[in-house]
Amino acid sequence: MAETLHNLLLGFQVVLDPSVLLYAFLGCIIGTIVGVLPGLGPLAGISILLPISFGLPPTTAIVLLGGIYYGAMYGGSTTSILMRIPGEAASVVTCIDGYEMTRQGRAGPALAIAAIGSFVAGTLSVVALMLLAPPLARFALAFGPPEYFALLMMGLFVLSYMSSGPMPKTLTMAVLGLLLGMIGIDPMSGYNRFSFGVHELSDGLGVLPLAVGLFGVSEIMLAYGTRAMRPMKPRFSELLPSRAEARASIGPIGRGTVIGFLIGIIPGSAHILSSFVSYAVEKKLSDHPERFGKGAVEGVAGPESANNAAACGAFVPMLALGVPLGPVQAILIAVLVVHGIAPGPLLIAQQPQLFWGFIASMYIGNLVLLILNLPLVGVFVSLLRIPYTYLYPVILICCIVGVYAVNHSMVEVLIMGIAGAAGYGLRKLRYDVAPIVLGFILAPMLEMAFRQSLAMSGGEYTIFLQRPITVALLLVGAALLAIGLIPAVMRRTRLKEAAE
Amino acid sequence: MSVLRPSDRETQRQRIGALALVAVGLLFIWRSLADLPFGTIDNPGPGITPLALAILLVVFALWSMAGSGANAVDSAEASNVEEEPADQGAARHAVFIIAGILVSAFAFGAIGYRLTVLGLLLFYLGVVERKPLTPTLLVSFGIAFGSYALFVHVLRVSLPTGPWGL
Repeated sequence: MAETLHNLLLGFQVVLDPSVLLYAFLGCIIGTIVGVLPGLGPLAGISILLPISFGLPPTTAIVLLGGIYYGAMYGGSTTSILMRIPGEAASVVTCIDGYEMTRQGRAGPALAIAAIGSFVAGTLSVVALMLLAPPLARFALAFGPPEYFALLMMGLFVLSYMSSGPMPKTLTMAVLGLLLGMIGIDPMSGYNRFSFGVHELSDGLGVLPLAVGLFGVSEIMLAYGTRAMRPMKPRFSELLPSRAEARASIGPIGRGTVIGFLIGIIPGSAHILSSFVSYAVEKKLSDHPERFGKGAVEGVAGPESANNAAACGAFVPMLALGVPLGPVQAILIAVLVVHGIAPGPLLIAQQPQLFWGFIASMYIGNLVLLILNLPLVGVFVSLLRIPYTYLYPVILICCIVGVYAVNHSMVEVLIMGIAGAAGYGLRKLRYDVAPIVLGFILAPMLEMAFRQSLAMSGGEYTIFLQRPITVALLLVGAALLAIGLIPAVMRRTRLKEAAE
Repeated sequence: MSVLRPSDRETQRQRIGALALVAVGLLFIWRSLADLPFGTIDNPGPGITPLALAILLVVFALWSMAGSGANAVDSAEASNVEEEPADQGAARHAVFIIAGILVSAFAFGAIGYRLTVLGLLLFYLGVVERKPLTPTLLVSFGIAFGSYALFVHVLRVSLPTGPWGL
């Protein structure tokens, strides 16, 4: 414990450096704006602003992008409560009771409870992350290539199980991402794969043009027809919740924190799921479930706490194992790689400034968001008054400049354009494009772990069945895959019966 | 002439999408077989993983296509026939966005950042969105020159300059 506190002190020393602190503030503000603007979720926001981080030192870059991520979680609740428009997917549940509270003239308390719940959940989850990640990383030091292969496979299986879309479509996207990750020089043999004579493709497609295209550009295309709005602005004096509302929120905030953190560790877009689970739990536990949907403060406190806790929990596998199990974490891993830092269990030992600086920045970020969000809520919602027709060309310019500026590569801008068009088409056809980026990042790790395992065993495939951790991970993955298949099989059977 | 119902049209679109993914899978299978060594079963070469993944892509895309009928009914129920003109507008908007990206990819190196961004903004605001002249000019010049100052002088991002140092 003393060692943890000592390390945390180191983290605060890093993050209280004025330049790092400035970027922590900046990240929180940009994140809140990203969260407030409908359609522009944390993933698109991070993707668009990713190139700016490349010119920064690694710790500052991670602090900035982390701030954008949890800032977006905070900001997403504002439009849900005031206008019934979820700023990002995890805030969908908040619309139900949050907007009802607004209609009853209780917008201020709803915003305050959402902000306080997010702050408490965010802070407690950082404590859990801080205590959990180092021992997990030490445990992971015992992992060899077979264990990593099994872990990554399990991650992909769990992703397809947890995804909101149909399983075949999720698997298709994950495999497409893995396949795109094969483009470029094979690190083990030196063969140039699928570069089709284009010199720039020898280094691979690049996560930046792919992510900015799939999320940023396709988002701009899909947001066609978005109109400027006239949101209401609650006064600062109206923000205080009543004593009864404050008392009713304590339990949901506590439960939401635990539920969110645990679900956050699961692969996929867990923060979205966590808010739904929290809402269901609160409704189940309530003595008056009929109040839910009619402005119950518990319906705001629980889900908002859960999605912030989940955002934090998702960093556990990324920081402890170097394995991104969500698209946002996949992009953050890419940032580390660009800065020449190898993600993995040794990260905490080899880069203590980065790890503890990031942890400390999350404490600071949560506080910044609490202080900023409530008084400035009127300023943030005013952004919704800017007509989309003026907004999108500016966002598009940010995408283009961002991708071009990294390598001054025309080809990368073209790749972004192609990825944008593909992302637009796929999303129109109701494919979730997040597994593509996840698969793309995992592809080299997965292939390397597979081939190293075989090299270790002298070509014996049974190596994956001889180690207890490997077997356990593969069994969990296979079981979830099988469970995920049940609805598809049942639907098919029903369709057959109906046809007969 | 037969008119397709929304659910039929959605099924058709889903199938075309899945077939496009099958085509991508087949392209990777073809190039894997043509260009890459497979090694041996106990020492796989650089071609084996892409080949396996490409085959999986084809299988999963066909599986998605098989389930597209049921999914299409769900999604068609969520939409309606009146969305057609809006879809056309969205498609036109999407084409303009992609065209802008492609043009800028070539223009950056040739005419520099500021002129490219200025041209793009004038095109989007003035031509595509038909905004009044004064705000179009103000926003275009402001963003083109202001963002250059922000990126180059504050964020230290190196951006290309074109003729006359612009």
